[in-house]
Amino acid sequence: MILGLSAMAVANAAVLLAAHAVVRRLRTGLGSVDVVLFLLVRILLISATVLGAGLARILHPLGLGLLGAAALALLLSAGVHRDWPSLRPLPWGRLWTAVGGLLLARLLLQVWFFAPAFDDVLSYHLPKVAEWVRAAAIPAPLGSDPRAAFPAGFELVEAWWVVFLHHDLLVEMAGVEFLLLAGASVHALAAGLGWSARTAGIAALLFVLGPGLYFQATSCLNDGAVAALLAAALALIVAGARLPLVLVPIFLGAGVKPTALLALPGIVLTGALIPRAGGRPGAPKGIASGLAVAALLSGIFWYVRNAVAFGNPVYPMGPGGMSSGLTGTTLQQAGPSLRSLEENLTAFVDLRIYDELAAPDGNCTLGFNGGAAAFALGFPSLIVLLRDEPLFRRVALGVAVSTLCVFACVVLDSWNGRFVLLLATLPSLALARLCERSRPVAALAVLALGLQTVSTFVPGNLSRGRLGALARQPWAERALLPPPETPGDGPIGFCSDDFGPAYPLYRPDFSRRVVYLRETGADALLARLDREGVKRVVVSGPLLKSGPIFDEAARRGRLRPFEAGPWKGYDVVPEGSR
Amino acid sequence: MRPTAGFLSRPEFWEIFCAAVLLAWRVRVRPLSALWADWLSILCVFWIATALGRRWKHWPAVTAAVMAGLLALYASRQVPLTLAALGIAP
Repeated sequence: MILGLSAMAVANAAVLLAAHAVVRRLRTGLGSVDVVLFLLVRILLISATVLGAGLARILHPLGLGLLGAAALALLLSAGVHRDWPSLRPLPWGRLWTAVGGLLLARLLLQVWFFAPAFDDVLSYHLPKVAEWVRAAAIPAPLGSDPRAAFPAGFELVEAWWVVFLHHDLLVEMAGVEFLLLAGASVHALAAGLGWSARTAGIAALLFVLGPGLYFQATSCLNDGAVAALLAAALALIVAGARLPLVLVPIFLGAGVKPTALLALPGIVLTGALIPRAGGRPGAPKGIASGLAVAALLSGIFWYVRNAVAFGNPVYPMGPGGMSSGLTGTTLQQAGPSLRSLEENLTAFVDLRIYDELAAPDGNCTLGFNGGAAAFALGFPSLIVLLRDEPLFRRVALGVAVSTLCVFACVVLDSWNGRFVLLLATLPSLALARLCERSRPVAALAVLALGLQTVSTFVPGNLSRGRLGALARQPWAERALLPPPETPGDGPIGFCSDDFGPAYPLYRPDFSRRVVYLRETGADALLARLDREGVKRVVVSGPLLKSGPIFDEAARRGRLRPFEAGPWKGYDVVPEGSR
Repeated sequence: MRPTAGFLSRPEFWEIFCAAVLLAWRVRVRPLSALWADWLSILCVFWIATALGRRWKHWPAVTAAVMAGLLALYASRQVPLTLAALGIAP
């Protein structure tokens, strides 16, 4: 643990200083844009480091710690630390510092007490991270869930926060990195629109306290990261940054989730409507291009890997989209559809905007989770503002087109409000601007922000005593689904015909090996279990395909059903002891 | 002399036209009894009123009143869920 903590401190110091070294050479002359670039470069450096270390098979505390120490020594010897920006006097004023400090402290407490909970996270996002950390490398996807092959740019940052401690306690810090980027990006957007620092601060606060975006950050989900990266691209466009710099968040976004690409037409439109300002001192072209190439490599890696491994860069998506292996229902369509656009728009304005069907959570279950301020104040402010602010109108048009493109390209389901979190930038910006002009509106905004602050304490999916149960667990064992025991502490098998929560089986400290079973016959299954030394197999969901295989193995006396809490499956009976 | 030509070429006309089309759609697809609490309908009416009357000296008060109403509408539906999530409501 001491080695891990030391390596984490050194590596993070190196990445912070390296990001500072890059950004000081970019010199945009705009403080808020420099902060966006700093956070972007930090995320890029982390992603590239984890990816490189994973490919070099040194993704462990010692490897990353030594790399960090070497980089830190170089940066310190070059004197990069000498012009580290001073925080005295406080750049934001005492009130803002106090509010920001309290919110940050709350966020860190949530990181500490929350544990991964959503099905998608437990089924295919985090099992990847667990496999990487256990292997100290980035192996091919092993899980039974085909979505494990999806791009994993967000998981690279999650791996950064778990690899040093070999524990998932801080895994939500990846979301915090992107939440900070989201806030900084909206701040920079407002500044780029020519609005005051106070207005920019209010807009940033409104955006990050949107319950959907906020809980994305503490839920190990990657849609908030996509929204943050798209907002960063918009902020850089409005600031008149060079094209390679604008491409950095777009390439990173493509590596996080393909929905970033679905939203791209709107970003391109904004870029076309806002030509680069001629007088702005630009970043050195070489550095900007270098960053863009690094972001491209980091983002495109997953598509190239899938093309090599599966012959399809967007595997498991095919020409007909992606269907459930179990039920055959369409999980994701390929290409746009007017029907999806109509269904998603109708669901949005009829139901989801009210956030009345479920408490807010990171998945935006049955809602938009944009918050009280967006619903009641932000969108009406938008009507007022768009008439007066031509530059803002262009940004709004781009975001609206992005939202419509995403709606046209995704199947309506109960959780896809999270794909359009970028939309919340508009009401946040508009309301912040109107607060400048109207005291009654400002007073209502304070009330709405208060409501949003209260609604972002506990996500709906951790309500009904779940958070209390998590808080009562020792931090080292904190898990929403405490894993089942295995005899002799050996590996555990996992089988699901569709998808299921494999991640908890690794345990929070990744101490257990998980063997994914995809055998097609009882003989092969039993041979694999014996070969791997598996004594217990967890199954998830109805085994319509694999069920007969397990039934046959049980009939032979080699498997004995068990149930333990939320888990069910089979204990393996050793050959000859029947 | 064509008095309507000036109005037609003004942005306000097109704003009112778009808002009216959206409002007509809402009237068609939503029960009339539910329109008073329909977010999009309220926004459309506010949009039309903004296009027509935003130079009126009491317009800021009207804006604040609309927002306060929408805030009450949102809170009445969403706050019970938040309180339940916090464990302080049934």
